[in-house]
Parts: sequence; structure tokens; C-alpha cells
Amino acid sequence: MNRLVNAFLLTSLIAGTSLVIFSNHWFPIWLGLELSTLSIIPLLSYTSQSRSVEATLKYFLVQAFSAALLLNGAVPNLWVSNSWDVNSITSPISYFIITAALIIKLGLAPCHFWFPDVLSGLPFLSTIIIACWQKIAPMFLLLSLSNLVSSEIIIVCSILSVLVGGWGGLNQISVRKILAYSSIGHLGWVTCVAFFIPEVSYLLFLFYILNNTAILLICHNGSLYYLSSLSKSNVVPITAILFSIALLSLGGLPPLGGFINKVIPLIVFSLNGNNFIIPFFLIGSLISLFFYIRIVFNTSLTLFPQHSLNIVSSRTGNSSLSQPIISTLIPITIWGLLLLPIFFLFI
Amino acid sequence: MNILSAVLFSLFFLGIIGVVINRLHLLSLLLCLELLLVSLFLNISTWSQIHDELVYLNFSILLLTFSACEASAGLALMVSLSRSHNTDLLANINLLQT
Repeated sequence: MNRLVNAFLLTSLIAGTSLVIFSNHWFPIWLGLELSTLSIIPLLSYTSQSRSVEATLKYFLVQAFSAALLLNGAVPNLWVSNSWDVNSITSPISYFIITAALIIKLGLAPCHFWFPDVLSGLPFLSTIIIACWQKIAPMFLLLSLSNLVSSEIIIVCSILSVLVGGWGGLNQISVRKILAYSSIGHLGWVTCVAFFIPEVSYLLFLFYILNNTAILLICHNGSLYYLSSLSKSNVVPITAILFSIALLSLGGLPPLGGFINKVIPLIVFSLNGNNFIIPFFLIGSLISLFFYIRIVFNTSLTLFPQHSLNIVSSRTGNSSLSQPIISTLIPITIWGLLLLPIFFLFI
Repeated sequence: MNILSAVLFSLFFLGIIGVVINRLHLLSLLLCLELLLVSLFLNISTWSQIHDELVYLNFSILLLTFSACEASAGLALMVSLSRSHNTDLLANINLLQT
């Protein structure tokens, strides 16, 4: 696409998300959400391929519907208390409609059905925008609402998300769909602490974004669109090792950084005495760990018999900009466990 | 005022039902999306005239502007979709299931 148009659309995307994060009135929030949706549509659909256009359409319909639902949910609060302030929600109908709109926007279960379809229709760089950047604005809204009114809807949706993220990813052959279900499961882990200590959820969300971006950039670099292309991938061997480490960190194995995403919610649950919900989270994350390890197995631990003419040069990559970005994101997954003491400031 | 806000919210729920149970055409889905935003406009205009905060009438016109932008983006996507899939029917938009 034209460089100027691309720069303009990315700038308005960043402006839209910033408008949502930094405002106290419902109108700039709705405006920012609409602006980010409208500015991302040309970025996703300019190639006019059938799959991209269909994914863009589904994404636009879901986001437009949930943005209209969000502002319509702020209006009962208006009739009851005459206030447009985000931090003063007094009517329970209003809280329910706004939470439902944010759950549809984020892709938490039971409103997750659009997310794997949309991610599987887009190339990997667009996937990074949809799965990582576009979650920032609704997640900030959801967590600031949880600061005021803690309700059980969030816990129920996060339990369902973790279980759906586990079981949904089992039978997939497309790497984008696997990463979509893993993203659904991870957002379940991120939002489950919102019922107890919402400030900690920001830390978990940051880890999720960094880890996911690293994996998606590596997949973009090697064009790993399907499980069958994982074993024939022509990435540099160190990238294959870092890919495996990033995936195991996403699965939550202990010495790696992604373990923070699992251990902090478990500590918060047991400190509050809610031991009953812990097995649901553990079962969901165990099943997702299985399909992460399946990807690791197909990438690094097997060597399919191949003709010597098929061994391509292992120094090709799709984009030269993604290598330094991958190199700066991967240390989070390796050394991230040293950031665990930050959590103990919040207890 | 209770009857008034009940009528306005029933318009909103009609819009939601129209989006959810739509099975045939994409264009009717986009129309019900517009119904949601128009019901929002009516709601905010009525509230602002009852409670004497006339600045929100200005706000409602901005709301209409943005809903028009969104509708045009939806129509552009529908045109692009009908160029690639040759159809408007929701049952034929099924490439992404696999």
C-alpha cells in the first residue's frame, strides 16, 4: 500500500486506542473504538483476497455491533444518574450491557466465535494488530470497570475462556487458528484476576502481548501458516530454538517468563480462599500446553527425511525488520520470572 | 419519563434482535446495525432536552456523523465482499471455516 496512506492509518489506529485509554467521558471512548475499527479496515482488506475480505467483514461487524452496544449501555446510567463519567456506574442494567459489549469486543467465551475465523483469514502482520494491539483498549475499559463493581460475570467468562481455549485448539491444523484459541485462553487467565485485584491484570496482559507478538513475528518470518509447513520451515536454527522457548513460555512452564501468567492468579485465588475454581484453569492450560508442545515437536524435534535438493538456505527470511524486534521480545520470555516481585507490591 | 425511556430502549432491543436472528442477507444486518445507532441518537437527544443539557444535542449530531462513516465503511466492505464472493447471502460467506 502507499506509504503515506499506511502511515496515516497506523497513526489514527494509535490515536484511537490512546483516546480510549485516557478519557473519562463515554463519548471519546466510543469515538476511539470506532476510529480504531475504521482505520484498521483498509489495512486488513487492501489485498482483496477472498479470505482477507471475509475476515475484515466479520471483524468489522463484531466491533461495530459491540461499540454501539457499549454506548447504548452507558445510556441507562444517564437516565438514572445524569452522569457521563466512566467511573460512576450506578445502574446494574448499564453495567451488564457494558460488560457484555466489552466481552464481545475482546473475544472472551461465550462470545469468542468470531475470533479464530478472523485470525485465520489474515496474514501474520495483520494478526499481530488484531490479537495484540486491538485488545488494549477494551481490556483497559474492562479492568477500570472491575475497579468499581466486581461482578461474577468476569470470573464465569474467564473460566469458560480458558476451557474453550484449551479444547478449541486441539483439532486445528492452521497455526493461526491455534494461536487464536491460545489467545482466547490467555485472555481468560488475564481477566480472572480482575475480580480480585484489577491492577495485577495489567501486568499479566503486558506479558501476554509481548509473548504473543514474538511468536507471531517468528511465524511471519518463516511463513508458518499450517502445521505441515512447520517441519519444512527455513528459519535460522537459533530462531527455531527461540520459537520453542517462546511457545513453552506461552504454555506457562516454570523457569520461563510466561509462568507469571499462571502463578499470580493461583496465588490470588488461594489468598482469597477461592480454591474451587483453580482446577478449571489448570485443566484448560494443560490442554493448551499440549498443542504448544505439538508445534514445538513439529518444528524443532523432528527431522523429516528430505531430498538433498530440498534443503534450502537457512538464512532467508521474509522481513529484515522483524529479526531485531524478535530479539528484543524474546528476553522477556527467558528472564521474565525476575519480574515476579512486582506482584508482591500489590498484595 | 419511565414510559419514554422504555419505548426508546425497546427500539434498541429491536435492533439487537435484528442483528442476532438475521439469517439471509448481509444488507439487512447492516441496516439493523444502523438501527442501533439511530436509537442511540434518539435516546441521547431526548435525555438532553428533558434534562436541559443542550450541549448534548451537538454531541448527537457528531454521533450521526460517525454512524454515517461507519455505515459507509460497512457498505464498502459489502461491495468488496460481493466482488470476491459474488453473493450477498450470509450462508455463502463460509471460506474461513477451514
